[in-house]
Amino acid sequence: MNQPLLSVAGLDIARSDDPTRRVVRNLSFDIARGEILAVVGESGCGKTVTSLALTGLLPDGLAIAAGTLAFDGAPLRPAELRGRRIGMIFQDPMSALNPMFTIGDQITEVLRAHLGLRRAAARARALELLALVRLPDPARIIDTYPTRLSGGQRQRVVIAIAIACNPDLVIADEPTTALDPTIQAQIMALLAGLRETLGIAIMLITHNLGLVAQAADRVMVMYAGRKVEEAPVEPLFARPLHPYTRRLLAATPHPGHAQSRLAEIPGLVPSVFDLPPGCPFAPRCDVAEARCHGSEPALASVYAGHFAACHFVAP
Amino acid sequence: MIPLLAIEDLHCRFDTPGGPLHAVRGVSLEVAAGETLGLVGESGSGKTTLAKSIVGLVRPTAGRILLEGQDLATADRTARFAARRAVQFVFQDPFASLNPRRRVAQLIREPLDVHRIGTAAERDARVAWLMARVGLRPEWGHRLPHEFSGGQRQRIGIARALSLTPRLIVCDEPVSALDVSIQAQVINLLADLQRELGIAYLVISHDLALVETFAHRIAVMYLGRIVEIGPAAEVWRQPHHPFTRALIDAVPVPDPAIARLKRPILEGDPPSPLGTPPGCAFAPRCPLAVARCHTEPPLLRPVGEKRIASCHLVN
Repeated sequence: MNQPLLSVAGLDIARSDDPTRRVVRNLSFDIARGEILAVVGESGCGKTVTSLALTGLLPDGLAIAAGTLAFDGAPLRPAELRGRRIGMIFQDPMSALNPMFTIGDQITEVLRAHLGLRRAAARARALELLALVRLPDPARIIDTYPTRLSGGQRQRVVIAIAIACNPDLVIADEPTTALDPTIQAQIMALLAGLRETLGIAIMLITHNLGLVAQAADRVMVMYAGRKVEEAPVEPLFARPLHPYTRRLLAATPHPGHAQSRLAEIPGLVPSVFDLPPGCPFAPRCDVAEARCHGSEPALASVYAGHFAACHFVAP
Repeated sequence: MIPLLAIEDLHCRFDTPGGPLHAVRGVSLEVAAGETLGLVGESGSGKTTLAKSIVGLVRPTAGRILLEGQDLATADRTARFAARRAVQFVFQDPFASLNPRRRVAQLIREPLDVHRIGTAAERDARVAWLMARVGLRPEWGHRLPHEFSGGQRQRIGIARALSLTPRLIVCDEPVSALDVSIQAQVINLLADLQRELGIAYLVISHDLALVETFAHRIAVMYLGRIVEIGPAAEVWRQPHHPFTRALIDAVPVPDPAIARLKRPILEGDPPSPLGTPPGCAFAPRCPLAVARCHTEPPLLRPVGEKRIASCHLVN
C-alpha cells in the first residue's frame, strides 16, 4: 500500500476561544500522489476552512482543535510547505495578485524566497512557467502588470506561481468560479494537463458538480462541517448513497434532458454553531425518520472505497 | 400580434478614455407575453448593457425599445412612468441590491408608494401577500436584509419586483450568487410565478446549462451582437453558430461518462468591446473560419423555422 501524499485524521477546526464551537468535525481523508480529490459542498460546509488549515492560513479566531495532519509521511508543517510543496490557487485571480508589481516580480519573488534562485535564474524560470501555463508571448507578459491581463490570463499567472516550486499538491479553491465558461474550460484543461505532465496532486474545492464529473478521481461531499460521503467519481454519480448527495445532483441542471422542474432541497443550510440534534441533514431530508433526528449517523464503509454517513446505508 | 417587448436595431455606445466602447451593436429581438428568453454570452458581450437599457438604467444611442408597441424613448412622461411599472429588474447580488437600513416590508412596499398604488391598508395587504407568495413569512417584515440568507434575500428582490404586477422581469444572473440547492428553489419560484401570473422573463446568465433548463428560447450574444436565437432545446441539440457550439462544449455536464469525453476547447479570450474586427467578430477564435469570415461580416438570417443565426457557413 502506497503511503498517501496528504493524510488528515480526526481534524476538528473550532473557535480559538471555545474548542466546543466546531466548524469542521472529525474530518479524515487522504490524497494520493498525482490524484485529483474534489471537495464538494455548499457555503459553510467547511471545505474552504479545511484548505486554510492545511496551509496554515486559518483566520484569527479559528484554530485546529484536534487531529493529525501528515504530508509525505511526516507531520504537516504548513508554514514550511506552503508555496513550496503545497501551491494554492484562489477563486478571484485579481485579488490574488498585487496590482503594484509586474507579473515577473510576483513569480520571481516566490522562486527567490523558496528556492534561493538568483535574479537571472529566477527570471529564466519565470519565463518557462509562463510558457508552461500557456500564456501567449511570455517575454512580453513578464514585464506587464496584472491589470493589463484578462481574468483567464491572470488565473494562468496565479497557477504559474502555485506550481513555481514544483509542488506535490495544489489546493485549488473554486479556481474557475469567477471566470467565463469558455475560460473555465481552458483553465480546467490546463490543471488536468499539469497533473498529467508534472504528476501534481490537486485538491479541487468546488460547488460545481459538472467540474467534479469532468476532473476528479475521487470526491468528498461535506455538509455542516462533516464528511457525509466519499467515493471514486463514477460510483458517486452512478449510485450516490447519501440523500444530500442525491438531492444535490437532482438540483443541478442536466442540460439536454428536458427537465420540467429542478428538484429543490427545501430549507436552508444550517449554521455549524446551531446544529439540529441527530443527522444535520435530517430537517431537509425527504427520507428522514425518527432515528435520524435522534442520533448522528457515523461514517460507514458501504462499498470498497465508498463511504457514507447515513442511517439508511449503514451495513 | 404585437410582442410584449420588441427591440429594434439597438445601439449603446459609451465614450471611455480608451476610445468609444460600442457595447450593443444593433440588437433586435422580441419577448412574447409569458415567455422566458435566456440571453447568454461572455463578459463584455453587451448582455448586461442591453438589459439595463430595457429597464431604463442605460440610455441607448440608437434604435427603439417598444413595450406593447409603444416606443419608450418618444413616449411622454406619464406613459414612461406607466411603462416602468410593467418592466422590473432582479439583480445578481441580493446583498448589494437591497438598502441595508430599510426593513423588508418597507423595501417591498416602496414601489407601491412611489407609484401611489392603492390605500395604505391595501399596500400593507399586498406586501403580506407578496411575502407569502415568494416563501417569506409575513411576520419577518420588520427584519433588516442582513438577517436573511442569500436565497431569502433574492426572494425579497423578487417580491419587490413583483409588487407592481409587471408584465416583464429582467433578471441579471438571478441565481449565480446562490448555493446549488438554493438556486433550484429560486428558479422554481420564478417558473411558478410565470405559470400563475403570466410574467415574461428576460434572463441574463453565463450558465448555459441553467438557461437551457429554464428558458423557452435562447439568444446568444457575441461582441454586442446577437449571433443566434432559437428554441432552447433545439439550440442545445443542434447549435448553428460555432460560438454557440463552443459555449455548449464548455458546459461541464454532471455525468462523468459525458464530461470526460474529449471536446474541443475554445481558445483565446473574449474580445474587447473597444475594437471592431473587419469581418465576423468571432472569426479570430473560430475553429471553422474561412477567408471570407475575416473580411465580410455575416448577417443574421433565418435558419429553418423559428431560428436565426449569423454565420457564413450556415446555409
